[in-house]
Parts: sequence; structure tokens; C-alpha cells
Amino acid sequence: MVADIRLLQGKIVEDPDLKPKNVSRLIHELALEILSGAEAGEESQKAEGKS
Amino acid sequence: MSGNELAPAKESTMSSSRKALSILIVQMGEVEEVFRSLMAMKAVKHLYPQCSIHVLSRAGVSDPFKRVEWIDSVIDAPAIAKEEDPVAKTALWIDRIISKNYDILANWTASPKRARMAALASTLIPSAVKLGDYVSDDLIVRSADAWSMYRNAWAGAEGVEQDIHLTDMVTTQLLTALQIHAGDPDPAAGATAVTSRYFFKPVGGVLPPAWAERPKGYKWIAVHSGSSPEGMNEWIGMVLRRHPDFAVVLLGENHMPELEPNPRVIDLGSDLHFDATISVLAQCGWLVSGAHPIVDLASLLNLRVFYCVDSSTNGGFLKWTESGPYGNGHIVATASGEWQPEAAYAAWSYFQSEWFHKNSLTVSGHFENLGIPGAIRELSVFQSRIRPASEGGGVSYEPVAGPVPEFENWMYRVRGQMARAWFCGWLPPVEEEVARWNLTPGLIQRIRTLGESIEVVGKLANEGRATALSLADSAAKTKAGYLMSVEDRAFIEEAGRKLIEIEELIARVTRVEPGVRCLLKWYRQMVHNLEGRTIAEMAKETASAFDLMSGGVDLVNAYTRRTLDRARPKAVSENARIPKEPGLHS
Repeated sequence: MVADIRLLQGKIVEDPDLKPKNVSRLIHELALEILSGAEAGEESQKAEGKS
Repeated sequence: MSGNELAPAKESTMSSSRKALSILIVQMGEVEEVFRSLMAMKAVKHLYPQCSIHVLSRAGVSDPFKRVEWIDSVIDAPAIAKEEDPVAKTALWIDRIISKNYDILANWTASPKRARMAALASTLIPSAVKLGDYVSDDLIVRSADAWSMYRNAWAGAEGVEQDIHLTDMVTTQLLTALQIHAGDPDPAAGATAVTSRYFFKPVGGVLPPAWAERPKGYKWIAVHSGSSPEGMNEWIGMVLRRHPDFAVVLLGENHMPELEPNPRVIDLGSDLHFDATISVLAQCGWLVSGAHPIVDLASLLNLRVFYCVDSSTNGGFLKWTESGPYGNGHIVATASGEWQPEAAYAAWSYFQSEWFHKNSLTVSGHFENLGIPGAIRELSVFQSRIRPASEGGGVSYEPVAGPVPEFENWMYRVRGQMARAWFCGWLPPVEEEVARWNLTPGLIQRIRTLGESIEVVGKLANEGRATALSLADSAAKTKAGYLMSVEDRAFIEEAGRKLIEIEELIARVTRVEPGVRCLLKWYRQMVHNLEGRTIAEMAKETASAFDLMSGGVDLVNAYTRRTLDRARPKAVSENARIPKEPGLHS
């Protein structure tokens, strides 16, 4: 069996400087993820403190 | 070679000259993932010392990265205060990051809690090549490469039993990509790049007085009390009674009040700073722990680990075989029922006295000598080993004593080799592998049953491939992809229906034979990651997915055939000497 290079080389980005199509939506989602991650971290710290 | 990578891909478009590429590792997961990433990055830096390595992480877990000299920069995710506009703050942060382009971005974040955040960041940061998970235009998380698909399909508690460690997956992923994009590695040049007295730059800090003034002349065992199974105090008591040259340092939040005061026990609690933890571990001969980031840290520091897997408490999103201690000589003990401290002590003391018995004694024999021969039936013991490249490379946990589910273990091996065949182009030496199995009637019977189902899956995969290819041919006839004759449209619809039907039939087989579920999961993962923009392109990719499935079926068939061949009675001459059967559990 021969390994399929297309699967191994990763996603080749033709023009890395080109912004993704829905950049503002991606940033919005990322901000929400960072916020929810920070909240989850605070909660787990509180839980650890209690235990 | 540093040894902690699987056999590299044979086919590549590698150039002869090595390029100094800049690599961004996205690791926004938990602290254990940080340590595992460091293990993989060490191997990469060793083989490609000319490449610069940068890390995207998050405050609170990124400190270990900042303490490694050969990491060029560490970026933290922004901390957003409650009164701040999160979107504006994130946009500013991204804007600052994208001022630099990377050659390769590898998203190694596997923790489900952080996976989407890391995928979003990976999508926004510019890089010529992307590995790992990213977010596609339709805002769905997809995988950019085969190893990430493999991890999503098979690894984790919801996955299937497989024997490739997460560290090996990411190491091999990046090394293979580097081989393609940067050229062949140069292990000699990198020998000094990652070898230093300290893995982490020491920054000082005061050691707890209890440790600084510890009694001298003892061999120390670090016990992580918080993650150890119940009864660890009894285990410690046995060690202290029977090994007067040993002392124990407790780390973690469980202070074990039931332990009698003893100058050979020091409790350092859970408030140790990073430097102190490293300093303590560096003075110990063993770490005894359950699932906890300290296990990954100990692996990084080359400290031998006695890893206690207690099915009742061993949580986490990965299976222990994917996240256990990494390196040579670690011991893993898994209890099938209630955790027995005496059995765990017997297992540990066998490996502690290796230098004395030099393997002339079996683990079972050692249990007998201690007067608990039956205890080994309740405890499975494994020893970790970095396999040579000729055996597929990577860490493997080899059973040394106790009950081991035969068929599952056989399937573990077959699935691991399937991945190596798919992604490394490496074909396992089946004869040698099969010769190591201890064939019992139960295992043979089970493999025969599997053989019937695998034959059906093989036929369905071939049919699926043919259907996908004819769909691709038919769809490619029209340039626009949507203007077509009524006949062509009917054919495309019919072929699409047939593909769904084939998938459903394979799913039905997996319900009867869970052993082949891995192939269905792999197919679905590949279909989830189709990149084609037209029906023809997607149909071609679907055909490739069926192709890989067929390759997997061939490998299982080869294993099955050779295993059953060995079990078949053979005619021997009367005077022939019968060689001893090498068993796994000798």
C-alpha cells in the first residue's frame, strides 16, 4: 500500500495572505469560545477550591 | 532518530535540500496536552533543528512552553475582561498575530473543550500549510490531514480500540509533512539542539523546607496522591515495611491522613510551583500516579512511571493507551475489579528488583513468591517500549502479566498497523507479528467469525468504490456540474442513493461484528472531510475513502489468514524437534 501524499501533506493554502471568506463571523465565534473557555476555567477553579 | 515517531512515509515529493521553515504549533488544550506536545516538538526539533518553532497557547497552561530554550516564541490567547468588548479585543489580537506568516501551522489541540477555539484560531492565522483541525467556510470543524482524521475517527473514549499514542500521532503528522515540504531530516545536526542538562530553563524559586531538609540516603518514590486509586496508603505502607532504603514524597491534594507519621514520608501537597515539582521529580526514581498531567511531565523528564489505571476513576477524553506514560520501561497496571494494593505492590516490586532477578523470574512467579498467586488474575500489567522503526515505531504497551483480552489485543495491533499502512506506506511484517501471538481456541474462533464479516465489508467497499467512480465519470461529463441530461441526472441520483445504501449495509455489518466498526468510522470521517467543490470531485474523494477501506480489509485478511495458517495442524516427521511456542504471557 502506498501512502496518499494528498492526505499527509496538509491543507495547502494558495495565498496565505488572503483572509478567510467569513472572517468577521470567525472572529465573533472565536471571541465567544475564548469567553466561554475563560468562564469554564473560573468555574473549575472554584470547584477545585471547594474540594 | 529520537525514536518517538512512527515509520515515515515512503512516497513523498521531498526535496534533497532541507528548508528552514517556521512552524506554529497550536496547543490551546489542557496542561497534559502541553507536556505531550513538548515531547513531540522535541523529536521535531531534533530532526529539523533549522526550523523555528512557535507556539500558540493560552495563559495558565503555556508556562512550560515559555521555559524551553529552543521554542522561538509563545503567544497566549487574549484574556478578556468582563467590561471589554470580546469581539473587538479578539479582532485586535488576531490582527497582531497575522502580521507574521508561518510556513506550517499544526493544530495539536485535542481536548474537546478547547478544540473549536483552536480550530477557529488555526483558520484565522495565515500559513502556507495547515495540519490539524480547522473551520471550513460552512463553519464546521474539519481536518486538514490524515492523522487528524484518524484521531477524530478512532481516538478518544468514543473511538475504537487502537494502539497509537496521541504523541506519536502528532509527531508523525508533522514529521511526515516536514519530509514532504522541507526535505529529509538530519538527526546528527539536531543532536545538540534539544539535549541539554535541563529540559526547562530553571528560574530558581525556593524549595519547600520539608523537601530541602529531607533525610538523606533514601531512594525516593513520588506518589501523586490525588490521582492514585483507593488504598494507595496501604501500598505505601508495604513499600516502607519491605524496602527500608525507600522513602515516599506525596504530591497532590490527598494528604492520606490514615498514613502513620514516618520520617520516610514527606507530604508536599498540591501547592508546589513548577520549578519545585521538577526539582522533586528529578530526585526520584519512580512516580506512582493515576491519570494526571504529572505523568506526562515525568515522561518528559525521563522519570519511570508506575501508572495505575483504575477503571472507576480513570476519566479523561482519551483511552489510557493513547495518553499513558511515554517512553521506555514505564509500567501500567490496570485492575479488572476493585483495586488491590497488594497486587499493585507485587507488580511494582517485580520491576523495582529487575536488576536483581534479571528477568529470570516471571511476574507470575514473583506473585507466587509473595504468597499471592491468585492476585495476578485481577491485575493486567503492561510495560511500555519504544518500538524500532522496523516494527512500525512509536510507543507500545506490551502485556507482561495478568489477563489480557486476546481478541481485543489482536485487533489493537491490526488497527495500529492499518494506520501505518494507510499513512506511512509501511507494510507490517505480518509473519513475524503473527508468530508472537499465543493462539488459543477462543482467539482462533473469534478471528474466524471476524473473517466472515470482513469479507462482506470488503465486497461492499469494492462496490462503493466502483459506484463512486462511475458517479464521478458521469458528473464530470458536464463542465458546469449542474447542466445535464435527464438520464445523467437520474443516474447521479441513483448512484448517490446506492452509496448511502452501501454505507447503511456496512453499518449493519458493524452492528453484528463490532470488530469492523473502525472501518465504518474511518469512512465516515473521510466523507465528513470531503473537500471537493463539485459532485465529480467529491465522488472521486469518496472512491479514495472506499479504497482505503479496501486496503484496511486486505490487511485484516492478511493477518487473519496468517494467524489461522499458524493454527492449522502441520505434518511433521517423527524425528522432527518441535520448537517452543513463543507466548506473549510467558
